[in-house]
Amino acid sequence: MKSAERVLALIAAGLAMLAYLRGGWGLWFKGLTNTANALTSAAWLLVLAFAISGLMEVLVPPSTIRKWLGGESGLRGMTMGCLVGALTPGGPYVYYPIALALYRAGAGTGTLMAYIAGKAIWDLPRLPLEIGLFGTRFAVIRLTVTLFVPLAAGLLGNRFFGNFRARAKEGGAS
Amino acid sequence: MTQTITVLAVVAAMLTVAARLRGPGLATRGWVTAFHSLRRQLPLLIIAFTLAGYLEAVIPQSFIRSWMGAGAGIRGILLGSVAGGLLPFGPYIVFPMGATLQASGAGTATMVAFVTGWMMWSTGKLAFEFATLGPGFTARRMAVYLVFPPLAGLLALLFFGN
Repeated sequence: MKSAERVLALIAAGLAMLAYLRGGWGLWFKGLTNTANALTSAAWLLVLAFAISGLMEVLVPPSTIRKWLGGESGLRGMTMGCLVGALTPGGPYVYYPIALALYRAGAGTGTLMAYIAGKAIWDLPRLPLEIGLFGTRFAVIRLTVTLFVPLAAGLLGNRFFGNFRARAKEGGAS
Repeated sequence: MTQTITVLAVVAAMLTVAARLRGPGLATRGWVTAFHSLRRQLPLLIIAFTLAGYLEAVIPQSFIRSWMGAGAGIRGILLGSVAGGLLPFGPYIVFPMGATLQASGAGTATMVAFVTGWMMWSTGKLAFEFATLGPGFTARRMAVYLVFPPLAGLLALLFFGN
């Protein structure tokens, strides 16, 4: 079991014990029923969410992303950064190495910040999960009020730290 | 829910066709990748849903309503941003927890701040960022990103209410 799983399992066990202490077996079973209901209603959603993310992973490999963004700079680079971030599948172990490769290819601070924010905010492969668990209305509101965020993050990054060059893993400060 | 699942099924089907047209075996590889990661994440998913289920059972709804509910306003937005930003877990854990908070009476603006805080401040990803782009970049990125989660919550409050 990985450490995150162990910590979460401990918290879940703690909460289950709290439920028993607070309301006896009745509340304990309520917790279990909540879990079973949520899992059964989300089962298909989870399968499809994983399918979409897996298919995007093979359709948009990291090499394609680097090709799209290589050498782009300025506002065009930032806009591309946001859009490509939205299309990048996978977790931080996928997109931070991509960000590093972009940096090495000459991408500016603003472009990197726009790319990371585009991934964080617009993340298309993650969207099905958000819609399924929070509802369509919430997802639409959340996307509407954060639509400007990735580009704004890029512009602010360029405005304040445009001259900063990120440290490449083996490169040292430059 | 049925409607969401139908739309997702259509999207998955379209992506399958696109992968099929792109290259032989690509669609199969996509589905295999999907099932591998689902299988890998399954223990975590079950633990996360159990956690969320018991959280819903023990958390007093009055507490959620007063701290994160419709009347919580800016205090709720700040609390939501920080709570989301501090959770070092992936979406499969954070979203079920968030859905529990939502079902227990947390307001829309608070939840927008919570989700955006998790997305942008994301303590769980700091280690990767340190290792790849360096702490200097992380510090600057955090300085730029700091304002957005509360701002997103405020915009949601302003335009859509809580």
